[in-house]
Amino acid sequence: MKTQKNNPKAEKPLIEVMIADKNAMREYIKNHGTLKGYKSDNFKFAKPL
Amino acid sequence: MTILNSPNPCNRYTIKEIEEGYEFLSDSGLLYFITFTLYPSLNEDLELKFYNFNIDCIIDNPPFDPKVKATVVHILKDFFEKNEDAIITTYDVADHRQNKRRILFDRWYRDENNGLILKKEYPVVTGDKDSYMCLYYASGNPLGREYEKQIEDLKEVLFG
Repeated sequence: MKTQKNNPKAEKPLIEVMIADKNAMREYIKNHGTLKGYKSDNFKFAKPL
Repeated sequence: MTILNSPNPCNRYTIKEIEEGYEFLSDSGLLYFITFTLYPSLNEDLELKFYNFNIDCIIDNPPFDPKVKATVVHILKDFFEKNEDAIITTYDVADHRQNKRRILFDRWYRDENNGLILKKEYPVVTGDKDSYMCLYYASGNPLGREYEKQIEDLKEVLFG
C-alpha cells in the first residue's frame, strides 16, 4: 500500500490537498495578477510541452 | 522566452512559456495560466507520471471565448503527442461552481476528442461538497490501463 510520507498534509487525502492548492493558486493569481513567485511545498511545477 | 506553436493560427492565442508553466493573453485582455503540477506522493517510485492540470484566469468566471477553448485543447493535444504520461484534473469547489466547470470541460472533451484521449471519472467528496477527479490518457498508450490500476492502488492516498 502506498504511503503518504512525502505529503506534508498527510492527515488529508491527497485529492483534498490538490483542491486546496488549486484554490490557493487561484487566489494568488487574483491578488497578484501573476503566478510569478508562487511557491508550494506540496507540488512542483512542470513544463511537459 | 519560448513561444510555443508559432506561427500561430488565428483561431487560438499565442502561448508563452513562463517559469511556472504557460500563459496566454486573450483578445479581451484577460491573462490565462496553464499549469502542470507534479505531486511527489502520487509520483514517487513510479515510472508513470500523473500531471495535475490547471487552467486559471486572472478574473473569476471569465466570459466564454472560443479562442480560449481552442488554445487549451491545442495544449492538451500537444501534451499527449509529446508524452506517454497521464493527466488528472480536479475542479475548484470554493465557489460551488465545480459542476459548471465539469459540464464545460466535458463539453470540450466531447466536442474536441476524436477518440485519441480516454477519460475516467472518479467521484470525490471534500467536506460537504461533491466534486470529481478525472484521469485522461492517450487511447493508444500501451500503459493506459496501468494508469487506472495505479489510481486504484492509490485510492487510500488520494481519497482517504
